[in-house]
Amino acid sequence: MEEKIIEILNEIKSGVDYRNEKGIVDNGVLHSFDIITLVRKLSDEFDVEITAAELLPENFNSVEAIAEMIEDLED
Amino acid sequence: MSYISLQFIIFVLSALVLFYIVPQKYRYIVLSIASIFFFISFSKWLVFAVVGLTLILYFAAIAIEKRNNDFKLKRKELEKAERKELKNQIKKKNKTLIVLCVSVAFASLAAFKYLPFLTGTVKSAVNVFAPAVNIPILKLIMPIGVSYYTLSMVGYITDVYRGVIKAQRNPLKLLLFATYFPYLVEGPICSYGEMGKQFAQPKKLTYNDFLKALEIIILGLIKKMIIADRAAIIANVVFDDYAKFSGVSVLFAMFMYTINIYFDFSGCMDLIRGVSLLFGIELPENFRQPFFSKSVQEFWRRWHITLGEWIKKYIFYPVSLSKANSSFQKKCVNSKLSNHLKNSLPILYPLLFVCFFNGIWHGASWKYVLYGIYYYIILSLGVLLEPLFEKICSKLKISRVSKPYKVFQILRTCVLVMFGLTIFRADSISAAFKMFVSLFNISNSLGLLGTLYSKADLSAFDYVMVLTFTAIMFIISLKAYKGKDLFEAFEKKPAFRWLYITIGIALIVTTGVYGTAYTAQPFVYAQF
Repeated sequence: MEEKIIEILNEIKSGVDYRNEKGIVDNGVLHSFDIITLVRKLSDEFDVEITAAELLPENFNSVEAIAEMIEDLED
Repeated sequence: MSYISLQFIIFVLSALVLFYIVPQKYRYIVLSIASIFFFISFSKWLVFAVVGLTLILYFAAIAIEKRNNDFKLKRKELEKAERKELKNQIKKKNKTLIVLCVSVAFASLAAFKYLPFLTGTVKSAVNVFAPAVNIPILKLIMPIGVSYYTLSMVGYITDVYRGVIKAQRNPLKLLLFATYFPYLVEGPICSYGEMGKQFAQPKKLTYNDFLKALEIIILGLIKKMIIADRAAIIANVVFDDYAKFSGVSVLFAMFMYTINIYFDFSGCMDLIRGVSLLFGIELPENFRQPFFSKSVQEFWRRWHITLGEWIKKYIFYPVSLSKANSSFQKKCVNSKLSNHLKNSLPILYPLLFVCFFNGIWHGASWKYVLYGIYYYIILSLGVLLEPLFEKICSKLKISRVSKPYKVFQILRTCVLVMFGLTIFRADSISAAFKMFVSLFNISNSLGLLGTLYSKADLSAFDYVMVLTFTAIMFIISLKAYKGKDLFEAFEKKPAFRWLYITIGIALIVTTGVYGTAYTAQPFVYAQF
C-alpha cells in the first residue's frame, strides 16, 4: 500500500523524499489544493470514503499516517 | 474599552492580580468573569446573544457525543447489518442536529451583521419594478466580536461532530472559549482543540515569558501607533476624497493603506498575543510575513492565517468532498481534458465558496463580495494558467527557482494584494474603479502630491517615522522569513533585550499617535 501511496504523491508533486518526510502537511510540502487531489486519488485507488473529518494534518503528514488512515477506513 | 486605553491597562492589571491569587484550577473562572465583563463593557445586554448561542451549542455537542458513545458501547453486541443501520441512524440524527446548530449560529450572525445589507438589497430589487414600494432597511446593534465568536463556535460544534474533540461539560469553560477577551474583538479565530487545554491549565508564567510578552506588546504598539495610525491619515485623505486625486498620489495612498491595514491588524495581534501570554495562554500566529509570499495562494496562508484555516477546514474541505463536487471530479477524470485540467477544475468549485465567504465575512456590502470575486479570479487564473507560465519561463529560459524570479513573484503578489486592498478600503465599488482608472492620469502628479501633503497635515517627521519604521519592520520580517526570530535572539543577549524594551516604550510614549484623552485610534479589523 505504501508504495502505491508514494506513487500517487509523486504524481501530485515530484522531487520529494516521501519515504522519509514526516511533515507532508506541517512542512508545507502539500497544501489544501494538493490534499484534495490526493484524497480523490486515494479514494479511487483504495475504494474508501475520506470525509472532511479525516482531513487532519496528522493523517497526511507521512506515508505511514496515510496508510494507517486508509486501513482504519477500510475497517 | 479599546485595547489601547488606560481602562484596558487597569482592566488587564486587575484581572492579572485576581488570576494569580486564585489556585490554578479556578483561574478559568477569573478569565471567564473578566471576559464577560469586557464583553458587557462594549455590548451590555447583548451578552445574552453569546450566552444563548453558547448554551445551544453546549447541549447540542453533548447530545452528539452521547449518541456516538452509545453507539460505541452497543456496536460490539450487534451483527454487521444491524451495526451499519444503527450507525446510519445516528449519523442522520447528528447531521440534522449540527445543520440546525450551524443554521442558528449563522442566522444570528446574519441578523446582527447582514440585516441592513439583505433588506437594502431586497429594497433595491423591488424598487426596480415598483419604485413606490417603501421597504424599510432594518438594522440591529451588533454584539462585539460576533463575526469571530460565531466562527469559533461553529468550529467547536463541527469538531465535536467529526469526533476531533470531546464536548466540553463545563458551560463556563465553553463560554470562556467563545468570549476570551484578548481574541474577542479581532481574533485570531481559535479552535477549541488548541484553546481548551490551555484554559483548563494555563502555562506557568516564567520571567522569560513575562519579558517575551512585554516585547511582543511593545512591537504591536509600535506597529499600530507609530506606523499604522500615521499611514491611515495619509491614505484617508485620498480614499475619502478620491475624485480630487490621480496618478502617483492615488498609488501612494494605496501603498499607505496597505501599510496601514497590515500594521494595524498585525500590531493588534501582537498586542493581544502578549497580553494573553501574561495569563499563560498562547494564541496562534495570525500573520507570517505575508508580503514575502510568492503567490496569492501563499499570501492567504500567511495573512489572517486563522481565518484561512477556518475556511479551509469548514468550507473548502467539505465542499471539495461534497457529492456535487465528487461527481464533477469524476466527469473531469473521465473527460478528454489534459491532466492539469482534470486536477485543477474540481478545485475551482469549492474555491468559489471560499472566496465568496472570505469576501462577505469581512462586511455586509457588495464591495466585499467583489473583494472575494477579485481573489477568486486571481486564484483561478493562477491554477489554470500554471502550465502556460511554465512554458513561457522555459521559452524565455527563466529559471523559476532563481532569486530574481522569486523577487519578481513577491513583487507581483504585493501589487495584486495592494489592488485587492484598494477594493476593500474604497467607499464603494465605483470608487475603487475610479481610483484604478485615475492611476493612468499622471498629469500634475507633483501638484497632487503637494495637495495630499498639505491635506494630511502631517509633518516631514511623520513621513520619516512611517517610512523608517516600515523599513525596520521589513528587515525584522526578512530575518524572520529566513528563520531568525528577533525575540529568540534577544533571549541570548539580555542587554539588547532591555535596550529594545526601554527604547520601545520611550518611542511609543513620545512619538505614538494619540487621539482624545491619550487613547489610540480604533483598530481597523474590530469593525468586521
